[in-house]
Amino acid sequence: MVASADDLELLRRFASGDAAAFDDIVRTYQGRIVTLCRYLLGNAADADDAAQDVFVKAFKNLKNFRPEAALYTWLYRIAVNTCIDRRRRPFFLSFFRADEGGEGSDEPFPGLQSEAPSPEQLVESQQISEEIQRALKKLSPKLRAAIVLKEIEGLRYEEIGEVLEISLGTVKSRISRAREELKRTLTDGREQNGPRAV
Amino acid sequence: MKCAQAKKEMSAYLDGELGGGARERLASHLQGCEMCRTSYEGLERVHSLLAKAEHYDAPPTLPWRVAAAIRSGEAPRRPFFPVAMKLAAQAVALTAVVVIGVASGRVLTAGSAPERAANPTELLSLDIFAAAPPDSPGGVYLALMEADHE
Repeated sequence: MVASADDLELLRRFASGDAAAFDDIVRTYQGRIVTLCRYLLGNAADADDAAQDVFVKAFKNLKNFRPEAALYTWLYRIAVNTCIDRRRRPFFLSFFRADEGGEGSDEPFPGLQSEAPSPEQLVESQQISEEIQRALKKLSPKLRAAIVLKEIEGLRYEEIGEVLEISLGTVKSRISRAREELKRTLTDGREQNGPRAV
Repeated sequence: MKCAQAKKEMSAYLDGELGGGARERLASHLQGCEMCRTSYEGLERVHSLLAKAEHYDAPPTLPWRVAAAIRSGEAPRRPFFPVAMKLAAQAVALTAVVVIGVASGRVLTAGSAPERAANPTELLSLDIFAAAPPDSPGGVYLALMEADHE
């Protein structure tokens, strides 16, 4: 997996001192990074802070980036490591969150895409997303990172291996174990709460 | 293919990440093994559910926050300020309630209320806390404190 032509152009502009180049990198990848952080951390405020940290780290290290890798896999790697570090922070720091567990205050219409869904679809999507986040919290950080990169971000096994710096066999094994655990959690939860259309 | 092996390969099969020979062997096994087929259908349900997960938009302020953090070397933390403001407002409100409560209590319980009410400085005086009777717990505490200092 190598950097795309668009990424190479952004990197060339950045290297030549174009001040707007890094802003374009942030705007290009911020949605994917925020979504990844949201599912790894489980709440909007932490995810937004983590995304900010990811881009600050990327800015400081961009000169070390090698275009043999895709820019997004490199950013994903920083994001996974940042989220794992944040989950290790002392418990009391979690009190300094304005909207723990809630929706992002900067997102009046979270998930609103170019094709606007109906209010019913939005509610269902939010409910499912919350259910998924609760189930993901029960996984170990390693399994969670692998399954989120696969199912939410849509990466191939080879790309996941690059992001997490693990072999293809390990990727396969982690995704398989994560799915089995999610099957138990989500199926049990749904049986207790009554069936819902999946 | 045995069931244990089939179970290991199912997830990769679902993702289209299983090589040719293994893929065909697993497909054949799933056709003939009801238990593995049921297990596979469970994985498919998880896959379908996760496909409905929301993709979130970044907050509109993120590029600004990143730029500010890079310039300053320190990240401006959005959530901290509302919490600090909220705590400050709560502290001010609590202080106001205490002051008003003390002042009201003195006006209502004073023997010569009109005289006291004429002097707002006295109403707000903290001397009220010094009026602990000698036998009360507060009086005993004050006596002990004074003894310590002597």
